[in-house]
Amino acid sequence: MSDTDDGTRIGCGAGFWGDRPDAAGQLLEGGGLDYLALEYLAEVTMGLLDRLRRSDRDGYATDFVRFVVEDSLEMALAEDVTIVTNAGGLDPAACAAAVREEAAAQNLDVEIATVTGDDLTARLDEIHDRTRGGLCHLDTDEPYDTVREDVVVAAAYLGAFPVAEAIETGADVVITGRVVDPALVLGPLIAEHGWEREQYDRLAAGIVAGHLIECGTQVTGGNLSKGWREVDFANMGYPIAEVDSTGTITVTKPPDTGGTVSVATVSEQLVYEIGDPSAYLTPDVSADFTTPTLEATDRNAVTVSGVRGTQPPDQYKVSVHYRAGYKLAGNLLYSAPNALEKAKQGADILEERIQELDLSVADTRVEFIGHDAAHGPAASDKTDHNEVMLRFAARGTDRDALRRLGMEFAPLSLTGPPSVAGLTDQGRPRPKPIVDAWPTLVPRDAVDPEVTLYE
Amino acid sequence: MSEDPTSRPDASESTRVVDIARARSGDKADCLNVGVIADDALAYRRLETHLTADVVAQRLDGLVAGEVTRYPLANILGFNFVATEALDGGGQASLRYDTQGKTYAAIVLETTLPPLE
Repeated sequence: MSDTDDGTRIGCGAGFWGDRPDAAGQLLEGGGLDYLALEYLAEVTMGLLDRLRRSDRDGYATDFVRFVVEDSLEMALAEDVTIVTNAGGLDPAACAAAVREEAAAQNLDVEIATVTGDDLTARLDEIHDRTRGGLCHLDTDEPYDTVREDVVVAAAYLGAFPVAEAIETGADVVITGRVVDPALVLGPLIAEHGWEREQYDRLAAGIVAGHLIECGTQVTGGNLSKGWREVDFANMGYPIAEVDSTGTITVTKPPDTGGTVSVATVSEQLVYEIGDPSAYLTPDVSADFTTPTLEATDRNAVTVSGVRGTQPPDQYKVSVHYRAGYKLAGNLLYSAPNALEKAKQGADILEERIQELDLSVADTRVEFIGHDAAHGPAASDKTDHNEVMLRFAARGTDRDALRRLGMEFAPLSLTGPPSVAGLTDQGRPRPKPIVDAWPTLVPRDAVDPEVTLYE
Repeated sequence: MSEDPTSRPDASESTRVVDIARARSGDKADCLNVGVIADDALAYRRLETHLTADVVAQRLDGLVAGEVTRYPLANILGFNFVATEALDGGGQASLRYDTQGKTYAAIVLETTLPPLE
């Protein structure tokens, strides 16, 4: 299947739901791929999918069908590139059905396998009851009872072995629900190289390869903290990991694309969204990110070798999503002179109105966009702004109180400090439900991954 | 922002982190991480000596309510800083514009470090 002797080439054509729709096409055209991985499920996405599902809309990442399948399935099939994606979200079966429907419309014959068993929503109470000490929050130890009544979704982060099993059915497209993101890359490597459960160093290498490319162009120059002026962002190359059977990784990108792959871009991505780097935990292996060495081996090619891993934990991480009240945010733009002073007065008026109207609001937050919205107290002091956007946000469980607060923004365009523009942008912001994430651990035997083949 | 290696500051002078290192930040629930990677071995020693967990906690004062822990990645001349209770409740619940702390690496990069003795 592979062009080179030993290396399996896996491209990542989506780093999140919302990434460039034409990325998959770029990788299929110029990547020389064996596999195309597509990652859609950020932590916040699961709550969003639940909202969609409850409003009778699709509970999966529709971008996958709308863009990748519509535009690129034919090429993937012709080039014998297997697609591996977590686009299934909360409903891999519905996603598979939509892919089949689109394929049929294009007269394409496609075999699809799904990986499920991650959805523990219906069983979470039972798992809690039979877990010694009960479930608790991974970071804060908060007991399960504090969120129990408000849970809407609970999904376990599955590992790569069921993904490999799905690939081994011969499917052209593998659709999963929640898996650890790097499993979209480790799964193909297990299937290609025959890696086994105790080969922890190799499994860890697959996890590192997956971690490096799962956020798409963040490893090819996107968000580069220094040297970003030299990056051709508009024609960005999406990343490819070529991984041989010993676990040596080369990160690269298609020829004639923008972006850059260097030790700098790869090391910035290695440290992205990690905790203790010596123990990056997945269901298959604990990967040690302090072990690999990085070396630029060619123009736009960095080789990552020497990754070590050890036995995985006895538990699966589960992302529980629960209803946690409502929040709203509204904006008003104030211009010079004295823009910041005016915006501050606008915020004070809103705080006073909350008191006067006796609105039950749990928390408020005032930010001045153009001054301190990103860095808060760490922002430098200055007062000479051309303009400042007041952003006033609030949350609480009383939806009506927040809705009433939302009616206090537009009036400030007539009843507050001068040189303000506010009616055009969310003049009356409305509260939106918060579906918060509550990470926890469940015993390994509570989770039973399942592979289904749709021929 | 100095991006020319020949203009790298002398170790006997104070320096901003951005002049000797690079960084990226992100979230996991209500936790923030900032990975900082030194430009060379000398820069790594400067970070090791002066960019402590306490210094980073001080820089993020008012944004981070929990603890900051520093983990070394000597293989890439880096340190990973992990902060708890860092994002006003995290992704969905946070009232901040930057709900995921994506811009916080820039705060750490603007930290001034004293000379390396």
